[in-house]
Amino acid sequence: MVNPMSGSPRPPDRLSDASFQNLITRTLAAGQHDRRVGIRYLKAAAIIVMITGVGIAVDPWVPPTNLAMLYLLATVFASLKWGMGPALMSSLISALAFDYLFIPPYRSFAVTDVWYLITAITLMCVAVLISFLANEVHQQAMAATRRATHTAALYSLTQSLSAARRPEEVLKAAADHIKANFGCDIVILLSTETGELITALEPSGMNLDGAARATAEQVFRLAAHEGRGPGEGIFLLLKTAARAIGVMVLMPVHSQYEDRDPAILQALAAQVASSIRRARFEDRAREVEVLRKAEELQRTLLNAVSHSLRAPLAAILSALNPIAETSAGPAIPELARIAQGEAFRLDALIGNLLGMSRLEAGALKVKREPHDVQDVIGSALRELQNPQGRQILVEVQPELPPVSIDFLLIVNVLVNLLDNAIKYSPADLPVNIDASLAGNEIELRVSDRGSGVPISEQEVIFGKFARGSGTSQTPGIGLGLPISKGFVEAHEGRIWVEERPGGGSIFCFTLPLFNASHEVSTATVGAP
Amino acid sequence: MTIAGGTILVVDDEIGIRRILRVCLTSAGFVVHESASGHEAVRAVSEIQPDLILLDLNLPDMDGSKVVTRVRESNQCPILILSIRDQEADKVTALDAGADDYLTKPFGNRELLARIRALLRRRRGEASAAGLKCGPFTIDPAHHAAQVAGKPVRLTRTEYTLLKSLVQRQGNVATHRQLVREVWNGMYDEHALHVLHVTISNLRRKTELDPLRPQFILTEPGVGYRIETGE
Repeated sequence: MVNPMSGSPRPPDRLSDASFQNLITRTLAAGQHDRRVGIRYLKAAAIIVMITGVGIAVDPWVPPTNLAMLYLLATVFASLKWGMGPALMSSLISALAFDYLFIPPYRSFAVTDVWYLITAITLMCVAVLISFLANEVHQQAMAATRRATHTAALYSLTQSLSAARRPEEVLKAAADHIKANFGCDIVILLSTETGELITALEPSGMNLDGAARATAEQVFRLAAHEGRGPGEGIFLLLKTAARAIGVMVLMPVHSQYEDRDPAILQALAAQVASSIRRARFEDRAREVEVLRKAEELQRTLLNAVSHSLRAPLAAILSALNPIAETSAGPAIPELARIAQGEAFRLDALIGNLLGMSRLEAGALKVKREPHDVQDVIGSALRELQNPQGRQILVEVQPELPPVSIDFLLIVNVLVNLLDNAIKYSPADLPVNIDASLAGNEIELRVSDRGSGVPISEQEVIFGKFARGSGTSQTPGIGLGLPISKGFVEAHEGRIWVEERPGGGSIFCFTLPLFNASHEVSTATVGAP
Repeated sequence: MTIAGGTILVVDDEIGIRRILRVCLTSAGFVVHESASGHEAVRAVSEIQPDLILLDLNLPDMDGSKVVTRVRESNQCPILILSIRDQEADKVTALDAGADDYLTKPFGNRELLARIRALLRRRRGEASAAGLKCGPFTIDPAHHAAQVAGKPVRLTRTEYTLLKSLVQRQGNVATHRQLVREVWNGMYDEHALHVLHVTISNLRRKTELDPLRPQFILTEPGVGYRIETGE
């Protein structure tokens, strides 16, 4: 692309095509600038001298009016090529030279014919007018070129950014591109979830000093679009539609620069910010996908466990049952009963493992329906493996309202608590269950006369694979408590353990009431 | 073939369970046929016309309740569901689709035989002549009266109808939905379920020695209720 219009009084360095470099780092040493301007004046003067020479040579044969045309041509040329200053100078010298050499009285500035004065003024007016127009056109062409170059640079930035998939790749691509096209190194600071700005990318061997960091912080906190630091960096706010995500600092590589286009810098920052946001979304989508796959695997595993482990166990138990039930021979039923008991224990353990996996995978389905607390307790007592026939005393407050629960899950909780109470308390002392209304919940308590739970461990024991601090772990401890906690909390209930007055512990949990009155009242809305 | 006997079709893909069932059932005098898949079972039912079907819910090729539906298209023989725990929703679906009772694996021999006998007895309509009997309960439909262990008990009309529905099943399970339909003839929803629980609770208070530890009217967790026959 060639631009013939060049008479600009503005810094004259022209844009090299497809490069932003000159635009941003338009660096003009003042001396260099002056020298170039001087050369233009000299050139303009030289042309006049040349024309004057030609004029003297052809003077005898050519009328002076025609020579004036030559001077006009020189002035027009100067105004197009070198701008207003040299053109004005050129017109002035032309007028003087013309007057002095070719207008009678010769070799004198005295003007006898007023018409030649008009020639001189016309020359000057033409110089001014043409310089002005040329400058205008030049400005517009330059702006157009700049816009085209900006667009091209932003477009290529968009391309290289969109090719990057991960946030780190986006940062790297932005750094490479900005260095190549803008001649700047960049430092990118991104905010963490807690709102702290941390350096996400910086070129090797370059560190933001304290003052620069402070400026970056300030730009970020105030959400200013742009800021200048004490040094030469330009601080741009990285902002997506929703919020500021960080700050990008442009550090010119070559030297300081004066000319920069705020709109372009904003566009640059916006481009980088939106790419980071997109890459983050993609990252999150990938994580979700990985999580989904993990859950799928877990579900498959759940099925495998439930079928592969439980089916043979069910067969073993079904086979043992009839043997244990027959009374023939004293030893065989006894041994069979032992095997049966152990198999039951294993079955319960696998059941708890399954429950835990469901809780962890978020695959637990809670089917809440109104139920009678008495029925829950009765079913738990039937389901409980209580081979020694430990005494269990039940006390239920009369006329308890129904609870809104998944029956099987809560029976499971109660069985787990009862099982623990039986296991960890003296065999000759009863275990108590009681249920009562507490506010707008029903509270169930399972009490034993065991050694109790130290206060320091009262929360820990509900954690998965909890280890008692100092106390040796009772072998065979199951996942009963964490599962119970998970199940109770899935009902928006609470579960905890208290010290029992007189020794032992009380495991308590709450269940939500079934709001029958609410159901009825909504059903009768509009009735007379 | 003895009077206690009959032909039983065992449908289960687990060979271990099939073998145990074969041993238990054969020694109790039944003739046993086996199927390892749903399709095989549907075919076998029309071929051998069994007196009873033991159906596992976890078949490799077909949903258990679908097998029930397919069998019921042509055959009304009792179907006893075998299932593992944590499958209550599937059990209820199968029962509502027309299965008669269920047994959770692992199961005891006695329990299995008791359920099978109850189903066969119900099928023969043994109890219908001289009033209905089941466990300690006797129902006199002519007078809308009920007895527990020979002693008359005063029941409301709803309690009576509920008890009758349970007794008619001869110890087999009745799902919540079935009971709501039979006793209240109404929509099955949370409210109906609540009313059912309250009525069961009242019935237990009138008939059980310790309503907290019911001996006669048993809860089948997540499924429904049944009467303990004491077999």
